[in-house]
Amino acid sequence: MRADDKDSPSTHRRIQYSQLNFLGAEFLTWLYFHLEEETVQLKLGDAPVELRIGNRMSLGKLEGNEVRVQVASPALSDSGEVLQAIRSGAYVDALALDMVVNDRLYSFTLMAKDGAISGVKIQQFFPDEDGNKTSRENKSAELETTLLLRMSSLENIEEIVDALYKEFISRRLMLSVFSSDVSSIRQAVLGGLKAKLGMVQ
Amino acid sequence: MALFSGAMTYMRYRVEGELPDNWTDKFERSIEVRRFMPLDADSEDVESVGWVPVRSPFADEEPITNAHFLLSSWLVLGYREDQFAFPKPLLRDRVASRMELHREKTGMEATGQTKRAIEAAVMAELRKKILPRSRVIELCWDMQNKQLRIFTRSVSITDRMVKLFEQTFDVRLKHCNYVEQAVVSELSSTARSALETLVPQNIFQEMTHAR
Repeated sequence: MRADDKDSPSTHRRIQYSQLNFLGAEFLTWLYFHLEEETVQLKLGDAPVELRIGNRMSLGKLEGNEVRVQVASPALSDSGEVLQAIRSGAYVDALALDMVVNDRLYSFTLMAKDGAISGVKIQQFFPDEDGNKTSRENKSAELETTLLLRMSSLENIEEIVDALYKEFISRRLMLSVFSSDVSSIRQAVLGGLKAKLGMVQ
Repeated sequence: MALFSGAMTYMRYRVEGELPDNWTDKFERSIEVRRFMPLDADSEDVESVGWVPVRSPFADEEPITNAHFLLSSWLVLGYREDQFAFPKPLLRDRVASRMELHREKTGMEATGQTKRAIEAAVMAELRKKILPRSRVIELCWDMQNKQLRIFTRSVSITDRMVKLFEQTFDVRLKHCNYVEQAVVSELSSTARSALETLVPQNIFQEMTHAR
């Protein structure tokens, strides 16, 4: 760093809106039930997008240091632990998703706390089938193409996630609309607990 | 290298600020001034941070030119941190043994300045024998869409990277977490008022917006 470099105020902006830090966890919780209970139609350009819950999620309370619940299962919707945790007041703070667009599969995890997109796995675009050595110029072009394709894939994921978050925020800010969503989630939790664990409300 | 292979974990930032005239040359100079400099075992520095070429982050002698950091409309860089980290038990044992030698030679316990000198001498010796711990984090700046991706979730590292990035390129970064995305979204005045007074919603309690 240079001697005349000054501290930037970027850390101050993070603190300014801390009272809304629960939005990520509420979004992921809403998204889990939104994908589970409804047929969600999404598109990237003209291409239909299939988005489904992945095989891993974690839940925790918004505040406090109580033990978090982490669930890994090929069928999260069958997990009574998830419903029990939500019934106890926990929210989803990490949610794995699988997205299929144009026969290409993207797997990734959304993180509530910092908005990160974690563990993104996409197809390998350049299998070296013939094993030929590439020249320095070709290698540079290959890297550029690889970067283009990988960053385009991230853009695809972000476009879908951002669209879903925009929908969540618009619903969240309308009391009557979000009341209905919360009521649906409540019924899904209680009904699911009753069916899976035989628990009474 | 997260950018070119393997799974990716990253955070998004919005880049605020315009590209200056002659930005390729300016950026090249600004990056070179803040490039990573390897730790010198003979100096007292225990940490070094700076920019490295993303494709050869340990090529300390190689200059970082446009060809290294510009790929199409993206700017790609590595951020490297090197730190001497001495195992505490090793440091403690070596210092104790030196202090014992001092006591045998002088008949006195080493205290204050003498003790500090012994610790400094032990650390100087260890620096010559132990390689520093290195971390390299990649970033990709989509200059067309004014978006930056930093491929780590570590808060301490991203804080330092953000500062260095802002200073290098004279821009401001806004972390695109869910709060920021809500705050900057286009909302009606009614919706914005609702956002400003929003409180967490317990699924098993009656809805309220008021704070």
